[in-house]
Amino acid sequence: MSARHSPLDAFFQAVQSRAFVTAKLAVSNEDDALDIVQESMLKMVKSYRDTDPELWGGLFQRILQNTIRDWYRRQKVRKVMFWWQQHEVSEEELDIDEGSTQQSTPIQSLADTQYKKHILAALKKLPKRQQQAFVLRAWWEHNTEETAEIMGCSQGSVKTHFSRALSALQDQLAHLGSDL
Amino acid sequence: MKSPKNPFDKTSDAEKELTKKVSSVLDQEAEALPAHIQVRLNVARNAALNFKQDKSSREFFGFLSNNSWAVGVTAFAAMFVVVVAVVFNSSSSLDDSSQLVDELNLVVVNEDLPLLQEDLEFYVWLQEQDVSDLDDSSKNSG
Repeated sequence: MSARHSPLDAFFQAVQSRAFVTAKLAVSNEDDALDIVQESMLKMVKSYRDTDPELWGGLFQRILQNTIRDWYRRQKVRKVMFWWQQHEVSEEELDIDEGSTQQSTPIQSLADTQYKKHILAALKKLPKRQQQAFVLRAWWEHNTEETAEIMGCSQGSVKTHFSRALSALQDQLAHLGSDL
Repeated sequence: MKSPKNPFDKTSDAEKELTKKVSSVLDQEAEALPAHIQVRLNVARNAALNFKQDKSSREFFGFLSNNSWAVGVTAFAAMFVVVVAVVFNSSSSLDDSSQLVDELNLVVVNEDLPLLQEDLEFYVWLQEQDVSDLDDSSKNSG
């Protein structure tokens, strides 16, 4: 069976868009989000190509979240090592970056409503663990046990993160009133 | 009797509604990704699926995992070769150094030889002189 029409190909097709949105929410950068998804797929193929397809969902989610975490670590190290360079970035460069990001932001390529913008912005503002818990529980529909396993923490922590995420979202989106 | 409404029900409903709406927005995001993102995701997917380990390395590591005894023998042989090489190198360097000392000794000895020879001639001459002096004194006294 060719790789292009394999069950794993079908699995990737089913999750790749959601994986990209998840990664982009976490890292706020389109290119990095694409890299994270590709790296996750590659790790999945390398290590779990021959495992039971029923396990792929949880495995891929764990790989994706670990890859996002690795990205944060790299960013942290980069910030420490090159903090002085960041101060030297010109305003012009910042404008270019911002422009390119906005041009390719999925938010604006969709039906561009204030409502969606506010919701996505509120999600991005969440602390990373809360965002992770919310996205895994609410959107990917993993139960508390699965989410705890993916996040590498206790079920109690997942519940706490999820509850705090909900409260924060409610606070941030309160001004939308009846739209919510 | 109607049971009193749980005070958290309203909050819980609101949270459920919020969760549903946020999930709906995320679904729309995922379903309506820009074309260039979709293309790049497809390229990434195909690249991952077509990933193949280098055949030779896969065969080599496959062989190792299936023949653990061979791994042990190979490791032992490699260690043996390293130890022998180290010992050989260290002994040859000792030979080299002792040879160098010998050569240096030879140089020193060769340089002393004429001196020793002259000294020897001197002592022979001195002894002859002593003997002749003794002979003369005995003739004179006789």
